[in-house]
Amino acid sequence: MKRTAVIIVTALLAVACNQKQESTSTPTSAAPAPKSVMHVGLLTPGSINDAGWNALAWEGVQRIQKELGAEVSHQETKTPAEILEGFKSYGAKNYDLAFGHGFEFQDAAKQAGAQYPKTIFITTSGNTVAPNVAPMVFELEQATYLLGIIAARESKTGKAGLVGGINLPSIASTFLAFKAGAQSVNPKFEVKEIYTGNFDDLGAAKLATQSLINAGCDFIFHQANEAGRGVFQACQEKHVRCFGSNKNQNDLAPDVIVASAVLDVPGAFVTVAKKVQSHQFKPEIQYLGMNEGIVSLVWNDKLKPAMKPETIAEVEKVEQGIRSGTVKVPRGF
Amino acid sequence: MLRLQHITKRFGDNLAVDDVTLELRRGEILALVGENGAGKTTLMRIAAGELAAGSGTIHRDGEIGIVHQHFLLVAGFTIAENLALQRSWRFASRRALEREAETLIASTGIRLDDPSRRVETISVGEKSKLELIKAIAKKPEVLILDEPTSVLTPQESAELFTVMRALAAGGTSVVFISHKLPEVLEIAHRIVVMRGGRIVAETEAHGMTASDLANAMVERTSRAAGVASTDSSTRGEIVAIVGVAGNGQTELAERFRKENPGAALIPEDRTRDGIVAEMSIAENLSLKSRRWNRREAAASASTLIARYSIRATGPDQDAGSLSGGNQQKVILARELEQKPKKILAAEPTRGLDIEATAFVHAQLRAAAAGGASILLITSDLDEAFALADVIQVIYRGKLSEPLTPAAAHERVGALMAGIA
Amino acid sequence: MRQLAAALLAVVLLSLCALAVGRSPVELLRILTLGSVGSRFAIEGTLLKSIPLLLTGLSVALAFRAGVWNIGGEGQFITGAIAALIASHLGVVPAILASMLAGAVWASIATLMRLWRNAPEVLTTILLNFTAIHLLGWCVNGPLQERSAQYPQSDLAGASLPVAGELHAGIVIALAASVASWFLLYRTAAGLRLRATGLNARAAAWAGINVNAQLVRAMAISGAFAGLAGGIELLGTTHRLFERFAAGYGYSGIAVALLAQLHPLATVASAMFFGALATGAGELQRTAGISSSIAVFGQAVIILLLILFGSWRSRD
Repeated sequence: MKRTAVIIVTALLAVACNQKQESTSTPTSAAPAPKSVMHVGLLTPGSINDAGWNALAWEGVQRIQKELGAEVSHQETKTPAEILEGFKSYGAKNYDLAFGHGFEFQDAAKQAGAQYPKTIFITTSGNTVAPNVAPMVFELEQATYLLGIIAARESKTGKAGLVGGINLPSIASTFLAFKAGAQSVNPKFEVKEIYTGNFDDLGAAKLATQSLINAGCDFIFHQANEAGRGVFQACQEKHVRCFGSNKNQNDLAPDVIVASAVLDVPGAFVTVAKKVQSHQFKPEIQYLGMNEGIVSLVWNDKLKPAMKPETIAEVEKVEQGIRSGTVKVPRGF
Repeated sequence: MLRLQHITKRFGDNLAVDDVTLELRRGEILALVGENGAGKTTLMRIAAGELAAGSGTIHRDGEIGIVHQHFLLVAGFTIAENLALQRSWRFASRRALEREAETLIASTGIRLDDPSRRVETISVGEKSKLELIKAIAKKPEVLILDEPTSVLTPQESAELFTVMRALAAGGTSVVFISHKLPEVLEIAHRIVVMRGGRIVAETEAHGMTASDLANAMVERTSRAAGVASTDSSTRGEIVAIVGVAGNGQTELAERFRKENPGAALIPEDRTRDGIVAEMSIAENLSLKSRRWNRREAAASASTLIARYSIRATGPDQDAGSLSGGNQQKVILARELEQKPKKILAAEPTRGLDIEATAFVHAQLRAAAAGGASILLITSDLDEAFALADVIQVIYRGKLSEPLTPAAAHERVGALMAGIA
Repeated sequence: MRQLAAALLAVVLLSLCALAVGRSPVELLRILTLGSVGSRFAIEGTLLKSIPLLLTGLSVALAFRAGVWNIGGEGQFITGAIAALIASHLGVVPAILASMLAGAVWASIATLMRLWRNAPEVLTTILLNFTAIHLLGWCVNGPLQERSAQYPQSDLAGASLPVAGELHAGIVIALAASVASWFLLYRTAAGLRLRATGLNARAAAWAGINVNAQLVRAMAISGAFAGLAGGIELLGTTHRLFERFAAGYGYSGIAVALLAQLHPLATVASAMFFGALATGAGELQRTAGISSSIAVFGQAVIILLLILFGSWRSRD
């Protein structure tokens, strides 16, 4: 068996070295590209075919390729060793920008950033900042604050329910903002939370929703990703109004979903890349919210007319306040 | 029927079969005799098509059945299920399988009770019978039996001979590999003697004597194994437990093993319990030692290989590639070199040739002379009488009173059959 | 001969795969090679990845040699890392010892269940993996979560392994562990008894070997190695705990050990080979845009062929 390994490695090396000689005589695509083209790398913690978190990042990078004419590269990195290697590899190749799609990329970004100052390393969420390292922080809270206002204005029972997947800081934070929004209307408004413990168990999400409805909640908001469909099923069966999250989910249950808090993750990647390309990047947390066009509240046009006019008016007013900075939306972190 | 011409087979440097030509006649019982490692089994496996010959031609006509010394049975299955395995597959209830098995067993003339028992629970003798039934069920033109009597009691052997005679009368040719010359002379029509991979004698059985055969088999005279001078005061006793296989011998051996840590143990099933087949002779010999140093182990293994006349290429040879008799010698060497106070020897000469059997017996006598007490569990009555000071019969898990060999001569048959 | 056939078949199959996705096989091979061993950077990456693989591979090789089917490397890896983190405030040496102890204890739970109720360790070690993953999840969301309590991860460990360039001292420990394993298995009486038990437990028992003691010992050593792998990964590479810490190193160890035919010294080569494949695959993704699924598929083809054609359990 050892012999096999030796044979294979030798064969690989022989072929590779052979090829290397050729490449010195004829220029190939491996030669450094002219510096006018921006180079952008992306590391994801999982497969970009996951139709979720990682797919959104890949979509963002592809938009950067199309809209900014950048050359892009991607690697799926499962271990810290791979993450560090990926970042350093982009640094060594003088990439302009390298994204790490998660808070767990911070340590490696900091380390690689110190070694390769010409490359800017951006992590999706986090709090590590260095001259060429910064996190993107999405302000979905701005939209969930508004959902809280809608719920408090329209509720007959004075209670709303929240269904979460796993109790992560980013999720707890959107719930906190929802509650703050609701209680800005009615300080006695009651908000109940249930976490199911995962993001894929539709049945558990449905059960949680049913129990909230039985407890008197007449508005439901969820942060359960895939399992959110279970929330909508329960709401449809009991004709209880609810909200969509992250994406525009209004079409999933058009009879009961009043509005969705929408987060444009790919847009966030493009926004940051544009800043880097125009040399406007500053080493600070990159907050991305309504003003950047990344976060929005999208009404279900079918149900919007059923709202009280003063509800819609207040939502519009508060949204203006958030955009201008006069309304401060609380964050969990 | 079966014609072998100029068959040669080599395993590495070892010439196992050397230019052998042999023709089998219809309806004859041919005995193939010779020492361990003489090439008998290899030749017959080539004849049956299990091994490819190195050179030579084989002419076969019809089915050839072979019953091996080792068993090819599914331990977790019942007797009936094992028999059903070689039929074409179809649905059948357990009860139906058992009824079919009973019919099949009855048709062979072999006695094997209760086909609903799991094979892992039956004795070695019964497993051997089951293998025989499997082979006969295929109605072979030629049936090869490799040391079938080594695990059978005298009664069972007699039963087997009746079956063999009936098969031969029906036109089947039977090849019978054995070391036991009296039974060879009793059953065979024709006798072929092999030595060192060659046929050294071929004769009609009629008129032959055991000593003629023994001389043909063993070229040199047996080396006298060092028998220590006997001092009756320190001499250990040899107690022989005899009985029909499956009457509690296995359980008795297990109990002895658990109750006597540190005793020398020669297990009944040597390939399963005695040696680690994938390990070298040196490693197998060192399993009981506290220390392990490859150079020392190889040196002491070489000494033991010589002392116990183990036929091997050297201490590094895998124990699994040794012949049965030589594997037994490895076990004997490991166990007896500990100079134990107590020895359990279960079927210590099963499947061994004359020379090896004599050697094992000499070693056991020497150990007893050196003060070890020996529990000998055997289904070979000759062995019991040759070695034992005291004989006890085991029947249905119960031991008879201790008998002197003289007293045992009269009563042992009845006790084994459970009549007395 | 057989090995050569395997190597050639692997090259041919992978070339066909490359052509199927419209790429030049020679070009991809060049990237794979340069990306895994073609530069100092690449070699360091390869070595770094092979350290945990070597230790989990040794863990599996030792257990399998003794006939103990420890599939629980993943869980022992995790518990080793947790213990190392906790003990890291006492220094790097106590942290390493703690990781070995924790791995051994976690593996020994399976031994206890085997001896007490005859529960097969194949099953219990796998179930203990799931238990450990959840234990880790609870730790990084609870008692071991970073002080700022923002993300489900721990704070940095209190100590770390000495480094030289990109490499940390774990490589020395791992190499020493493989020599020690080889010595134990092939040069000591204890190793002889372990191997005899693995090859034929009945014969071992008849030869007076305490088979249960071998089981206890093999499982504990195997667990200690997997725990050490986790401890070293924490102290040398990640410096903190998070939910996806194990990343399959425990399971990869099985493939590493099988490819090495359970030989401790061959495990070194096997682990490096796996490390090189992973590093080269990363480069393929980054520079050739080969998706990770295809890269992983390619790795699987190579490993399967090597195991299939290797002299691993030759039959006549």
